[in-house]
Amino acid sequence: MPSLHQALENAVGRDACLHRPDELFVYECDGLALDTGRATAVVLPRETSEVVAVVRACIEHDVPFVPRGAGTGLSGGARPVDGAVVIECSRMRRILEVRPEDRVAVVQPGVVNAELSRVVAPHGLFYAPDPSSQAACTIGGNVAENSGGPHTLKYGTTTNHVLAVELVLPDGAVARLGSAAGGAPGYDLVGVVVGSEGTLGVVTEITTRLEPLPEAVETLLGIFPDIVSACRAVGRMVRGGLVPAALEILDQRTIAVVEDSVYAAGLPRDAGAVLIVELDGAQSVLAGQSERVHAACEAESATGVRIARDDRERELFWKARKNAFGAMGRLAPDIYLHDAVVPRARLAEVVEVVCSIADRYELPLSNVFHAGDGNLHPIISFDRRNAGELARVMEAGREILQACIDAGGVITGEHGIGTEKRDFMPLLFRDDDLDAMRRLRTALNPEGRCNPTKLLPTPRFCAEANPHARGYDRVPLA
Amino acid sequence: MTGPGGTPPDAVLTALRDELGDAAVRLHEPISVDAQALAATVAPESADALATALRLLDEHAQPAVVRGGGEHQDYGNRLSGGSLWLSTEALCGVDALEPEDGVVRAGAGTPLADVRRQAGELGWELPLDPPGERTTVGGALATALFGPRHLGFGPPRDAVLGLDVVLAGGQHTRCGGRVVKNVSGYDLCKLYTGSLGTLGVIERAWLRLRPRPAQVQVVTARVANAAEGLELGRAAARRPSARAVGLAWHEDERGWELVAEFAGDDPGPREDAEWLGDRVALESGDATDLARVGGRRDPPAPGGLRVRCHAPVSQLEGLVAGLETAAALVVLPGSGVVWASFATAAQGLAVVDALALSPGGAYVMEALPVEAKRERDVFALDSATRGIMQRIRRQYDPRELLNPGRMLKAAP
Repeated sequence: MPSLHQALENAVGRDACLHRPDELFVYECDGLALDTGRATAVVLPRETSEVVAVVRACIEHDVPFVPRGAGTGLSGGARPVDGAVVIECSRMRRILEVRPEDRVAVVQPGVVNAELSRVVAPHGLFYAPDPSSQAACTIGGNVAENSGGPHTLKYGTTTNHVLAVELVLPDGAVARLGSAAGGAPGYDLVGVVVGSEGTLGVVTEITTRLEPLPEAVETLLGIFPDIVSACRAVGRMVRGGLVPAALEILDQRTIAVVEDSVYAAGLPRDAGAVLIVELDGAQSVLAGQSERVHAACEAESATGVRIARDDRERELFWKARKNAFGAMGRLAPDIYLHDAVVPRARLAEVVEVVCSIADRYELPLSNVFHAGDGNLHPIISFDRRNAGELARVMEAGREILQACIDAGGVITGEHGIGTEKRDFMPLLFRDDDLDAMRRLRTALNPEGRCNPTKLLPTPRFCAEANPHARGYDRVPLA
Repeated sequence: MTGPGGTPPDAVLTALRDELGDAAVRLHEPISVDAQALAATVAPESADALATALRLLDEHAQPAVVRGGGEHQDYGNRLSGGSLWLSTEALCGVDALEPEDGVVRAGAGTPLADVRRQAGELGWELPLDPPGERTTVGGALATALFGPRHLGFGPPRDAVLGLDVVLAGGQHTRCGGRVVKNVSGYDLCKLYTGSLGTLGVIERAWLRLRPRPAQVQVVTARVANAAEGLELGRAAARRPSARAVGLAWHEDERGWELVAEFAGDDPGPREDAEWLGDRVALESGDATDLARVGGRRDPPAPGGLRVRCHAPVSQLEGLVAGLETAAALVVLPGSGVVWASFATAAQGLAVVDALALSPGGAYVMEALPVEAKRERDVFALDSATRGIMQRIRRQYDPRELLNPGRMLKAAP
């Protein structure tokens, strides 16, 4: 039998197989830089058949494998367990078909999210899920994490925009799940693959559902004395039945750091918080909706409401919002970007609790979030080189998640569980709940070879829970 | 496995009564489903009671047939077993309705009509419109059936935020949550929705509501032929406020009827209705007109067959042409859905066989005689999908005690 590395080179070609330590270094983590692992090889297949060959090689040599998109994930989903083969899909980047009449595009997993929207725009269409990383993240990665973004409020997340997938299963078989026309009979297998964090196989083709570009767009900026007022304005809009395309809040610390950076958009530095409200749809409907936005903001003490005068100003607002995380580098060398969701009715109250937790731990905290979904993103800036600071950050993070759960929320809205929150799953789910999830994974990934250590905590009696499991999932978060 | 007259053995009835109380277990005149008639019902009154019932049934290896409102009792493949009904009738009631958030939680046995009414009183609407006036929350989700508002509401899975599900061994589990965005773990809500109760029994659900639209306009029109109807219908479905667009044809009537519902913020629906009125003569209608473009508008005659087909919207002309022997057709041109009813099962099956040979699309035989189900799978499944489904089923209900045979056809 050839060695693993020889088998991988046979599968994808020598130029698509990396195994020198200096080549593997960049693949030791994803956007969760705190959590690293050492792959034995990274392969860059171009076609489904190559992915199948790689998976079969991993089976023959009994090594785990980890699918990877652009590596922008924030929960450790693409972090390799030691000794794994990383299947990096960036060379599978063809848009295979665009059918504007059906509002469908078929893509390989390495297609960049923003690129898909750019390509279909001349047809009056766009791909709606728009994570902040969309200039880099890939559709395959979006499928793994069920990615969202600011416009999910109106349009939904990745799971609402995937009609069918081709999946290389952990046993090397290829399955085509779902239907380009929707309505595929049987269990909703596409629905469980989306958001499965690369643990049920490698997605090698995606049939996406596209949305029509709206006739008109209006982007407003509500200016508030504090973040709680901004949250309450959001609550008024939700109660009042308004469904904007996006509702995003940035707090004062975020405004300051963005305005000091290359992403400056002219946001008011003296505001306690700003609320970006984007309305889209028929031109005739926007005027009435805009009035309702104004009324909600004014009822919650907004000191002003600006309207983006043109596309340039609109893009500035969004550049400020989508690059805010990057701008945080001005505050400290490290950030911990949290992701949790609470009922929208509890938003104001929970934001206050989150801020008080950070104060108690003496950690600078910024808030940038999808207020319309109740999807919080508290960001803690810190320097891990300071003694004890990382430990305080982790403790504060745990308290923040618990506060969200106590308010009826959940521990992730779009970043996923990965390794980051794997051991927090028992805060949200009981043993039987987690067992029900394990059954799904056991059905498709019985030997645990596909992306082990992710999403589910190790049960106390691993071998009894799954007699086929090969023990890859006993590796703790570094 | 069954006792005399379509009941489980006495030992099972006694065990159920001992643990759940006499009120939860009753014997009655046989109620038929497929080729069997079941004369016993267990109706647990809580999640714990449901878990106890399923545990006992598992211990005694007694398969159960789950029943909600009884509206879609025949949907799916032919049952391959069943010793009693498991009714969700007592798992009934809206126990949380949050107008600040637009979410509701209700027991599986709650009629959708009750949820709609309560949500409506607070300015919200429930984005589920399966056929059947007695359809329950559990039935709507287990079948994932839908109506003409599929266009505006999306498929039923989109309304589900969280589920309480009791598995075949009696484990009471939860998935999802009560928030509108959630990627905490595998999306088991998607797995259970549309699974016909074969992976677990839905006990309770958190559902997402939509704001009740400020303006609603329903209009109807008659068009001469399918080509005109499809072109107009597709265009109408692409109007920003279109919530439902359907076409209906019946062999006893001339031409096609178009029904369109526009709903949303002022003045969108009025403008979109005017846009349509510029292209075809319209009459004003109301929500009751939508029933004529729902999938059960023309239930097949006894011995007949109804099939639901999905195709890309650009290929609907070809699909409709292939269904020309149907006695009735309903088309949702914005969603790519066609329901075709045939006077006889033989006619319908011949058409379905031709459909299966065409690439793309999907179909489900929603209604057909039980004798025809003996030889045919009502779901068009390829072997890879079927294989994965079998592996999943073995994990969740290895003894096939829940609605056996309903999803994955048993061998004849």
